[in-house]
Amino acid sequence: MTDSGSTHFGSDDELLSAYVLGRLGESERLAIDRHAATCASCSEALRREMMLAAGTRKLGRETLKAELRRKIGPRREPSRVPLAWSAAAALFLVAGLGAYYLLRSGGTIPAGPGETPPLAAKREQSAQHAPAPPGTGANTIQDKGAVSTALSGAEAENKQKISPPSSRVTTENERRSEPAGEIAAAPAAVGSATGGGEFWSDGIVESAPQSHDAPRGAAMQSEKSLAVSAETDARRDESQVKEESRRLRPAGEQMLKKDVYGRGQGEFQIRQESARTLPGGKDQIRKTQVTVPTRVDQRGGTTTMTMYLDSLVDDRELKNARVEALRDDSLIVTIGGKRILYHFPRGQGTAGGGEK
Amino acid sequence: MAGSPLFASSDARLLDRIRNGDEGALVDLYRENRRPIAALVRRNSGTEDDADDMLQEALVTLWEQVRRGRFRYSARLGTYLYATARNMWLRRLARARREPAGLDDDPPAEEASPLDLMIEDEEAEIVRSALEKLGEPCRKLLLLFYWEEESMESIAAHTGMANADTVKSKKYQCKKALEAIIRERMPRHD
Repeated sequence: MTDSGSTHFGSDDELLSAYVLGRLGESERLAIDRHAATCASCSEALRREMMLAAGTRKLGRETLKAELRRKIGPRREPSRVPLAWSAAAALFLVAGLGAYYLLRSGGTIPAGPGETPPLAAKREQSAQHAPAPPGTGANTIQDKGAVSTALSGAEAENKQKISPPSSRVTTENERRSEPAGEIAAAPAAVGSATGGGEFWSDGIVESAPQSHDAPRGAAMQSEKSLAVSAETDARRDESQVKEESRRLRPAGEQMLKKDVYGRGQGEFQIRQESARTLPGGKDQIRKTQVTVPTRVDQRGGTTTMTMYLDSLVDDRELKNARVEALRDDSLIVTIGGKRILYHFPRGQGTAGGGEK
Repeated sequence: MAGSPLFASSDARLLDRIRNGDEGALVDLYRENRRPIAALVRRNSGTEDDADDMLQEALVTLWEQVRRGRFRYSARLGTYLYATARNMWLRRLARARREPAGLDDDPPAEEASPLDLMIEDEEAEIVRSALEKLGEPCRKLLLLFYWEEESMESIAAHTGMANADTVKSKKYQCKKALEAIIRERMPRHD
């Protein structure tokens, strides 16, 4: 081996590799360090060798990780999508709050800025299409206290109990059962004797909103367009809302029964609503996490989950929605290329759910 | 401490599988250890995807250490993976906040070597990308040498080359070919 202490070693391939891979003894390594400190070309040769080794290791690691992901199952690689979702969520916060004030105009709450009657009319139209759930209607809006706690995170949110509405806001289903102008009744208590009731849960989006067969480039593109569409949605006028309503059938009609995989055997109904119709306050949760605010209604052995999505999915994706019970208190809904994890409050879990 | 003989026995089997190149061992370890690591990452501002990524990184690190004969069994594999994933996650958080990683009471797992740290470098990414343009024989040889850290003799046996000297010569040619590709992408590299 070259006497690296006094001679140039920049062209000694074997020595460079041995140094980089830590195969030299202490004295040899120190001799190289001393020489490299005063020899620019040797120092540069070392740096290149280091970089070559680092790049090769990077390829090796990534190849093994890809193989591991393939063997584990559905790909779940970290992406910048959550950041885009966060940005979109922030934009939707503005749009959502605006929409909420618009919706409230149909009740007794004074009109908010930017409110337009057609949107309220659209909501009314949805109400007429929405099938009424079994049992009496229940209002689901949280009071301010509940909302402020919800801001502290999804887990805290899941523990929140539903409080009587602080104001009149009706949902599509409720409109069918409530006399006009009447203040909605308090919702069923969480964890009632029958195990029924209604509560909110924030689903945590586990995977990027890309289909498994979509190329990465497409995913990145959709990531960009997501932010753009969020911005666009904030400005969307009523004609566009109507067009969307025509294209996507009213949310209430898109109700499907789904079997639950795993030990949870309760019936699940997956519904969707546009995030723009999200009741006020709920949207703010998404400032810190990529979540899907979801209203969960458990009655008579059936759990109806109404997911407030930024972009509604089409019928095919809704039909292909899948519910997996993980434990008593958590499940995953796979819909539109996204896996959404839910942790339910104690006593509100999947019916008999358990480990898969 | 290595824990009970039951764990040690189970871990020993997994380590043997890794030594034999059985990637299925990593899948088993992933399934056994995902939940605590996901909880850890979620508690520390991360997402499920982040947790997956950290666990996969920790598994790859375990694979490298074992395959290179550098792994020292001083704790259960689950403990090793938890500590490694935790340190990686805290490093990532610190990088994002541009502050030193603040580790709590748990003992640190494997410290990242300078070479491992360079993997994040932009130039390393250029090299990685250039390697994909390289022919399969050269890519395989360089992976065996730099990533798996196999000896020239072992590479000769793996690749069917005549002997260690043939491997050395071929490796030199492969490096030159790789450098030529890199030069095209990075004019400074000459």
